[in-house]
Amino acid sequence: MQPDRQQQQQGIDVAVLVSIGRHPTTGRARRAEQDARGLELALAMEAELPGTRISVLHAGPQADDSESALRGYLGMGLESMTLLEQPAGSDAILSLVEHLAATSPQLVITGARAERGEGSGLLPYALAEHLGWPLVNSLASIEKVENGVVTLLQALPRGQRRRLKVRLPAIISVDEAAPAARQSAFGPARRATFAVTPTTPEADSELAQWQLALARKRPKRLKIVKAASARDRFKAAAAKSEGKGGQVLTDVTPEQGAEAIYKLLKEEEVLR
Amino acid sequence: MRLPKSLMAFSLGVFLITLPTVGLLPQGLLEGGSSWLLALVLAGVVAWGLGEMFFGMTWGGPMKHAFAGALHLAFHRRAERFSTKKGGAGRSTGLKALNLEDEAAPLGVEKPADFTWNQLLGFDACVQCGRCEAVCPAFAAGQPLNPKKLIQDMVVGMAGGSDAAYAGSPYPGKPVGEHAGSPHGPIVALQGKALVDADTLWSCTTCRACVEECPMMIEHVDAIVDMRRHLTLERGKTPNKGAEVLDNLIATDNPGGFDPGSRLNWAADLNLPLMADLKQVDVLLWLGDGAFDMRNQRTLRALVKVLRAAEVDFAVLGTEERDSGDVARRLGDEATFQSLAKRNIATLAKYRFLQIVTCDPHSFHVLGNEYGELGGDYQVRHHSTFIAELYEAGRLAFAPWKGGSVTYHDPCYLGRYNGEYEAPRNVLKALGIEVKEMERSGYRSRCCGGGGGAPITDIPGERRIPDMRMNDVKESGAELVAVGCPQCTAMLEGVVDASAEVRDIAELVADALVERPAGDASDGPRRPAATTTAEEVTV
Amino acid sequence: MSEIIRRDPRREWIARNRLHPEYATVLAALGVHRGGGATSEWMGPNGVVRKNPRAIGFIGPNGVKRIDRSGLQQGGQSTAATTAARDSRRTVTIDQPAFLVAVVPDLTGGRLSGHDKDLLGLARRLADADAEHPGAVVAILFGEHKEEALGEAGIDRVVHLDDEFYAGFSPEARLAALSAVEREMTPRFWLLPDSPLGGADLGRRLSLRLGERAATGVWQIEADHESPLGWRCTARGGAGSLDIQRPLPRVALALAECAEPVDETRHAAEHLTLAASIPTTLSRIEDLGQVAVDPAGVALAEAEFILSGGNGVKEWDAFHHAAKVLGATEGASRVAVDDGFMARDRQVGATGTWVTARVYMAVGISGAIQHLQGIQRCDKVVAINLDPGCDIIKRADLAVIGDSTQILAALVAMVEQQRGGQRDAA
Repeated sequence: MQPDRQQQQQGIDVAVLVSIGRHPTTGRARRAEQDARGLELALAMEAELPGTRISVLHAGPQADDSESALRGYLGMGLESMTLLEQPAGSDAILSLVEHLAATSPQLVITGARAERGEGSGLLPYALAEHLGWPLVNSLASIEKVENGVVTLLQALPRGQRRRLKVRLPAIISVDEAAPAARQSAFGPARRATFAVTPTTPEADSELAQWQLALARKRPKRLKIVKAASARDRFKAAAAKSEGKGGQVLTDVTPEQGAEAIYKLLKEEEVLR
Repeated sequence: MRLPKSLMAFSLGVFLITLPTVGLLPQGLLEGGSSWLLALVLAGVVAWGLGEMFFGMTWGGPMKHAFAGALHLAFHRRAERFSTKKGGAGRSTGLKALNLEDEAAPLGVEKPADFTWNQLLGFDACVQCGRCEAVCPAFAAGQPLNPKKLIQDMVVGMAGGSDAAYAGSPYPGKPVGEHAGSPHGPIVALQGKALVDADTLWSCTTCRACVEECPMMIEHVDAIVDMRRHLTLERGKTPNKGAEVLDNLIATDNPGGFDPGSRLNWAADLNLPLMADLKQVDVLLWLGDGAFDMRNQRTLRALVKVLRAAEVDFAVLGTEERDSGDVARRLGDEATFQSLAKRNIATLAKYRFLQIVTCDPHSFHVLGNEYGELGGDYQVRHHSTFIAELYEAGRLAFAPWKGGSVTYHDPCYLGRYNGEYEAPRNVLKALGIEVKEMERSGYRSRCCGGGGGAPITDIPGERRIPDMRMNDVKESGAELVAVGCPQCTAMLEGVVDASAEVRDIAELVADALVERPAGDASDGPRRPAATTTAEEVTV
Repeated sequence: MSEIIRRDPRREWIARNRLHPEYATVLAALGVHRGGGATSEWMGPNGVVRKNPRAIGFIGPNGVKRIDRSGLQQGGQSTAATTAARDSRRTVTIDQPAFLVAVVPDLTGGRLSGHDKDLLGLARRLADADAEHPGAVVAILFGEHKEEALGEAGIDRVVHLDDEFYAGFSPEARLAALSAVEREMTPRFWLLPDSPLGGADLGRRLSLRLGERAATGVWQIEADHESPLGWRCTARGGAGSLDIQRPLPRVALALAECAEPVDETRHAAEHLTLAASIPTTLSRIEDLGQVAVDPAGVALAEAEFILSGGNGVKEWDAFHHAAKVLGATEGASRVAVDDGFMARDRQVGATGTWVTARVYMAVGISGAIQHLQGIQRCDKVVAINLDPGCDIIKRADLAVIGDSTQILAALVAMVEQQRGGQRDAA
């Protein structure tokens, strides 16, 4: 059984697209969480399927702070990565499409959303549309690759999983459901090299026209009670202050206690 | 037992050969026909004895220890340890910095041959007396570490072969004979087993009890951290929460991943003076990462209250402060340590202060002993030392102690690392507390299990180190254990159903504070501590 | 019989005391004497609520009219008032829409989710901006649905595509259907929920198919005459760190609470069918169905509902069973982990995992400071503990003091019974 499977499963070319992340509290450049998880998937695949070749791609400028962030990926165990050089504020999609079409990997893995800039999560879809490849979002794990068909698990909310079969070549996007990325080691990271490829960039003029500001806190939705009487409206408005401070049930039977808990669980809709 | 016989043969041979020359025997004895035979026998005996000494030094005979031990002591990595000066000058406990300049060089120790020659001499010097094993907290807790076996494994690795011949206690849970290595083979295998397993290296709390105890002055902790450096920097294999903590240190300058801007949030109501405003003060109060921990914030509050009561001119760095790099360094991430250290040194260079006071012995050690190599030389004091000085100078007055019996737990990084055993006891004495010493205290104090990133790497054992320490406290009969370290507080307070309460010295002092008697100290009206509020002591 | 009014002073006294526990029943009894009153509130012909102040209240025992505004007023009147409120939804029919706003709700479990309803509220804002020339909201529903109140959610037209090839993960088939809708109806706007339940994926596919650069993470829109479509939106970008203001494009993916759900009008929810048949595409993605997942295996940091056990848990088998029945992810305090009852990756707290659960249920956990730090970001904390003085009680929104084994057993029994009841009904 085992050798059989190994014969059928052969290594494939995997391209992993990585971006420069942003730490949510300090805003420092880092390896992006989702992209690193994508690379982790690819590395796990390489260990499972001998002969898998991983190429890591980044489209962006060559700068010191971005380099240290990109080296975060290299420290996961890579010797080099391809840098499609283009100035900041250029559209990455076109150069990536061009490069992918030329190198034609069988599988492209990318994070679902960037941590900087627009971060709309449209990039994987744009690549899929341009290349005409199928796309699967929210990947949890790759189960096997056989005869040009990959079997994988897609993550659904609340930890659920769905098994899918996808014909290669395909694009896979990865979010927080994928396994966490391995530690990036300092030594290999700084010894790895960049293969810089110049591109013919096109400025993202649309993005330049938009106004970008630090995220404001969204207003909390008020509970609007369409109550008939003023008393009900008052009660609803004042309910919050009443609810402050926990309720403590002492000297209750287990059943009464359980009922109170059950009520709360129902209210919070966590019971399925 | 070949050695005594060979040495006896050598000395007897030489003795007999020299007898005629001294004139005790007739000169002609060795000149006769039959005497040639005697001379040959004697020469053979002498050669055997000499061979034992020369070859035994290198072939692993007992003479090796004598020879290697002598050389090891002569060329010790930390020559300062032989200083006869009292106090800090005679100790050398800071880790040696790793040269990160050369990009191509592999980092840390991967193979036995990667150790420096004087470290290897140190391993050869080991006489397997087992004193390190007896004091090792990880070994006692049943974690897979035994310092004696580790040093012997390095010796085996350097010679090449298996550890099957090792006759002492193995690493708990790891039978002898399964591990083997060679001078140029990896110490920790990528897969499977090599000379040592990674969890052995990660079990160490860097408490230095073994180093303190070792008669041959072998540096176990240095060796362990050297090997950890390879695992972290070259392989990226810091276990459990290690990787997360290091990532947090890189991205947020603190191990918890908290917003660095919230470092002073706990003190929003204290109105702490900032270095950025004052530029020049007597005392720079280093808060440490305990500023993010709700338990340690109580200690910090107490310390601020004490400093204010003594009218100390102090300030904090506030959000400019970063983790000292202690945890990163013990976890082997020298790169992150040096990055943090260099930035901290640059921050400190902006201001003028006479000394740094901190309630975290780990920061104390790193700032005082390890920043020097990177260009930061500071006068650092632990808060217990500083409080003791303030008391001696008459700047603090305490209400008499009314509580129960108290014992004191020596933090490793204060005691063994920095030789400060007296000041905390003096402070407790000043409070009117008679310390009930635990069996293991002072330089033999048992670790709380919180050092060296051990709570982060969290290698399972049969027992927990803090539980054992709390048991020591219980045996002393004390109702309260005074500590001087946020790590120790956290570890000891984490013990379930503990018999004793855990309080930091600063808290005990702050509770006992009374207004200083004006003028003569003899019989000023002493008010109970409870009525002395923060406002009253803030002048 | 007798004309003498028999007075019951006690009842009268209760009727005057609104806080009396029997107040409602006494008033009800008095109301019977009074007989049904006239309706005090009704909907006028123009959709305006009319009130008859004279019909409000009742005659008290002393012949004085009493008006009770406590909301407890009983009898025919109050029910009449609530039915009036229910009926107050204005019926709106848009026969000749000026344009269409297409909405593709997630329809999780066959029902409109809260997010879907918010989105429909947003769609209504776009459609109703110009009262003279209102647009119509057309909802494209995939798969079977159990929703009856489609009209009340603000839907004017419904395109219901119920073929089996839309089931499961079928982005290609759904995209083909949406493209067909686009060809036939050409809606001015396409709105989808930016949710992991499907909307985020489908919306992005659609926007690329239509060649639009969709606005994602939209949480606010405002009218703006300089924008091509007359609207400007604020969208979250950069992993939640940025607010992007841009003209509203044709395709928008909106976050939950992007608008108030519709609650004052009722719409026609008229069913439409597509004239042309949707071309079937050969799918390169094959759905092999859902895989059973153990809730205990869900990562703690992601879990929504955590049942966490500590030193006070004596029967771990019962604890695991309870977690299974409740569908909760298991967590543990440091002590429980140290004692070997739970795996290390289940540890909650400053030294373990920082959790963000909606409900965190702490069983037999006293609440060490590191533990409380780790659950800071949980919405609701329920504590079951023997000791009413421990720290977790201070943090808990609901604390039950008692034996955890018994309480958990009672809770499990209650949930199982409730589930059984539902199954019978279904």
